[in-house]
Amino acid sequence: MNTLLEIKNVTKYYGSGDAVSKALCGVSFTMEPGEFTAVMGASGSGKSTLLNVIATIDRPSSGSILLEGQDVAELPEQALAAFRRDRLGFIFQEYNLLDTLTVAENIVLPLNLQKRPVRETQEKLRAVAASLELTEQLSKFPRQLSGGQRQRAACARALITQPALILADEPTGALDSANSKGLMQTFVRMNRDLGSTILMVTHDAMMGSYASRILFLKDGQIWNELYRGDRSRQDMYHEILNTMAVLGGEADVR
Amino acid sequence: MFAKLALRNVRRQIRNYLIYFVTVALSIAMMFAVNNLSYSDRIRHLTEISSDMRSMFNMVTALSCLVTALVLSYAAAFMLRLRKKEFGMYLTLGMTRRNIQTLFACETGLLFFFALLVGMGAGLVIFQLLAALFASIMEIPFAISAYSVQGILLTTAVSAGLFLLSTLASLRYLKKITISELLKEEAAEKSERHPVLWCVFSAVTLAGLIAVLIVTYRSMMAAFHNQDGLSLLAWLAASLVMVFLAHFTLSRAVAGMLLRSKRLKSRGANTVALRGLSGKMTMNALLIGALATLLVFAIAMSNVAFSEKVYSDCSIAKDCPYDVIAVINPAETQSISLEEGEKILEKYSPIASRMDFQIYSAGETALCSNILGYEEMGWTDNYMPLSQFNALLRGCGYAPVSLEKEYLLITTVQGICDVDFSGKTVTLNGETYSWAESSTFYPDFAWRLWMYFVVPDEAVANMPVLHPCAAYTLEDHRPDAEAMLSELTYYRETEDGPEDRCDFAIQEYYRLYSNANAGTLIIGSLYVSTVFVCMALAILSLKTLSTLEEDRRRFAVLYRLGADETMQRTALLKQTGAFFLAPFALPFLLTVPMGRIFREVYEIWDFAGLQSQAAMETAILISLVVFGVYGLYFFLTYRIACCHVICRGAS
Repeated sequence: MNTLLEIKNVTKYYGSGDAVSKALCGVSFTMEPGEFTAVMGASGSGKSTLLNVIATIDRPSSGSILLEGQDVAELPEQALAAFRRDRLGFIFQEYNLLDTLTVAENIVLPLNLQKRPVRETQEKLRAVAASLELTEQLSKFPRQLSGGQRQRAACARALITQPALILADEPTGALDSANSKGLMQTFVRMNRDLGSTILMVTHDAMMGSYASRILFLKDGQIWNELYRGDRSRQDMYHEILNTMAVLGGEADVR
Repeated sequence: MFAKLALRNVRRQIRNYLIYFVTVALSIAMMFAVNNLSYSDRIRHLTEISSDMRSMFNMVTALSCLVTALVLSYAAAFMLRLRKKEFGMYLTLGMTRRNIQTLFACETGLLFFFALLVGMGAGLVIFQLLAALFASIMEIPFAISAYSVQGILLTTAVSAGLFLLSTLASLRYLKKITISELLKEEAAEKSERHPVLWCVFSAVTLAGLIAVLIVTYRSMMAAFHNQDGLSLLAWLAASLVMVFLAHFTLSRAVAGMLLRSKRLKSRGANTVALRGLSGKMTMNALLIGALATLLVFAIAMSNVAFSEKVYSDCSIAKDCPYDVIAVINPAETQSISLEEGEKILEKYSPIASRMDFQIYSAGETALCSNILGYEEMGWTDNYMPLSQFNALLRGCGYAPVSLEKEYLLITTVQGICDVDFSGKTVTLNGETYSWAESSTFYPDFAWRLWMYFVVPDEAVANMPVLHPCAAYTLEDHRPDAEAMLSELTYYRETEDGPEDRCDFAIQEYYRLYSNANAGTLIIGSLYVSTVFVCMALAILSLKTLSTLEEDRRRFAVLYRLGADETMQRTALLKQTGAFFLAPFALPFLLTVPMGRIFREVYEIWDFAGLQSQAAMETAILISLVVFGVYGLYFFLTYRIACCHVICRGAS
C-alpha cells in the first residue's frame, strides 16, 4: 500500500534566543490511506501544533511533511492554499461553520472555492447530506441546529471535496457525551464506508478508542503508539486509560 | 500614569483609531476653512455687497458645527463600542470606573489634540483653496488671504466644546453600563430573511421614484414657465422621500436576491461576501437610505449653485447690456441729471460712447389697464420709439425689430408677458396700433420700468418725455463700481422715510453683486456636499470596521478551507466596495437626468449653449474633492480591514 502521509523528523520552535520553546521535537510517523488515527496527549504536548503543521496552517522549523509523496513544507503560499482546498478536509472543535451562511452554503463552500460547476456541487451536496442525515437541515442556519448537527455539518463540509486526509482538532470538545458518541460513529462510518483517512487530535480517551491507531505525544515527541488490531473498542479504551496513567496526562474519562 | 498608558494604547490601536482621527481632522479642517473665510477681512468686504451672502456664511458655519457634532459623537460612540469588551475586562480585573473613564478621556483627548493640529494644518491649505475658488467666481485677482484670529479661535472653541460634549456622553455611558453588558458579544449581522418580498417593495419604490422624478421634472418645467414654485417644492420633497425609500428597500433586497443565484454563489468566496454584504445592508438599510437622501440633496444643491452662476453670468448681459444705463426721473427734485452723472462717470473712466434714448408717456392707461393691479402699481403706458430701441439692440449685437402699425410689449416679468393683448389696440396721434408681440427676450434697457411699449417713431411725436435716458460704454469696463454707485446715489423722501436711490445701472456692480451671491452659494454647496460626503463615508467606514472581529473569524475559516490571500482580498473588496457604493450609486446616477434638466432650464432662460468657466471649474473641483474623499476613506477602510481580516500564510 502507498503511504499517504509521511512525517519525517518534524520540529517546531516558537520564540528566539533564550525564550525559545520546543513544541515538536523530531516527530516522525506515517499514515496509510483509509487509516483512522488519533493523536492524544496532555495539554502542551504538541498535539495541536502537529495538526497545524500537517494542515499547512503553520510551517515546521525543520523536517518534512509528505502527503502523497509531495513535501508540503516546501510549497509556496499560493500552492499551500490550493493544497488545503483540494487535498485536506478540516473539522474543528468550535465547528467553524459560518453563522451567516446556511448549512448548504457552508457545506459547498470548499467546492465553491475550487470553482466547481453548480450541477456537480449540487449533486455532491445531496449525496453528502444524505449520508450524514442532514438533508432536512440544509436550508437552516447553523444557529438553528443542535451541537451534534452542527458538527455533522462540519463533517459534511470536510467530506464534500473527497480530500486525501481529514484533520479533526478536538471535534467533540464542544459536544455533550451523546452527541460526541454520535459524531464518533459518523467518523467510523466515514472511515469505513467512504474510505476517508482521518487524523484526529483528542484528549478524550473514549473518543480516542474509536480510532484504529493512537499516537501519544509527550513534550513534543511521540512517546507511545497503540494499534487496535482485533481488540474491541472497550478494550482499546482501557488500554488508552492505562497508557495515559503511565504518561501522567490529563485524559478525560467518560 | 494614565497619559502614558493612553499614549501607548493609542499607538497600539492606531489602526482602529485611524478612521476616527481622519474624520475628526477633516471635520476640523473644513470648519477651520469656512470660519476663516467667513471672518476674512477681504471676504467680509466683498460680502457687504450682499446681505444674503453674509447670512449664507453664517448658515454654513452653523451647519458645519452641527455636522461636526454629529460626526464626533458617532465616532466616539464607535470607539467605545469597539473597545467595550476591553474595558469590561479591565473592570473585571479590578480597575475602577473612574480609572476607565480617565483612560478613555486621555486616549480620545490625545487623539483630538493631534486631530486638531492636523485639521488646522489642513485647514490652512483648504482655506486658501476656497479663497482662490471664491476669487475665481468673483472674477477678482487671487491673493493669499490672511488668516483670521477670530476664525482660528472659533474653530478651536467649537471643536473643543463639541469634543467635550461627546466625551462627556461617553463617560456617562461608561459610568452607567454594567460589566456584563460590556463583556457581552455584539449580535452578528443577520442577512435578510425575505429578499423576495423586499425585492417586490424595491420594484414598487423604484417605479415610484421614477414616476415622482418625471412628475417633478414636469413640475419644474412648469414652474420655470409659470413661476409657480409651490407644487415643485412638494414634488422635490416627494422625490427625496422616494430616494430614501428606494435605498431602504434596495438595501434589504439586492444582496439577498443575488444570493439566490447558484451560479454566482458557486464562484470562489462569493457566498461569504454576499452574506456579509446582505447582513450589513439589512442592518444599515435606514442609514443607507438617509445617507443617499442627503447626498441627492447635496448634489441637487450643487446643481442649483452652478445654475445660479450660469444665470448670473448670462443675465448680466440681459439685465445691464451697457456699462452704464441711466434712466433719469426728472420728477425727483434730488435726482442726478444725465450731465451731472456723466461728469461723475468720467472721474472713473473716460466715456467711449453715449447713446441717448427716451421713454415717453402721456399718462394714459389704455394698454396697461389690461394688467391686473396696474392701478395699485401706478403704471401708465410708457413708450420707446422703434428707431431708438433698434439702435440700442444693434449696440449689443441683437437683430433690429420691424413694426407695421403695431406695438411691442417689452417686460422682464413672465406674468406680464403672459397677459393676452391680442385684439388690444392703442390710438396714438390718430393712428391705431395693434399688438405684435409680448417679449421677455430683449435686454432690459429701461431697467427702471416693469414694462414699456415699443412703437413706430411717429406714434410718440409730441408726447412728453417721462424719462430721459442714456446708455454709456466706458473705456474701462471694470471701474470702481462701489465708489461710482455711491457718488451716483441720492436721497429722497418717501412716505416710509428717506431712501437711497440711483438712476444709473452699473454693469460692474451688477456683476459684483451676482458673483457674490453665486460665489457664496457655490462655496456653500461645495462645503455642504463635501461635509455630507465625508459624514456618509465616515459612518460607512466606522460601520465596516465595527464588524471586523466577525469578519476576521469568517475569513479565518475561509483560509483554513483553502482560500488564498487573493481570494480573501477579492471577497473583502466586493463586500466593502458594494457597501460603500450602496448610498452613492443612485445619487451619482441621478446627476445625469439632473444635468439634463438644468440644461433645459438654461434653454428656458435663453442661455442654451452658454457655460460659465468658473462654474465648470467648480464642478470639476467638487467632483475631485468628492472622489478624493471617497477614495481616501475607501482605501483606508479597505486597508485596515485587510490588515485585520486577511489570513496570510504561516511563517
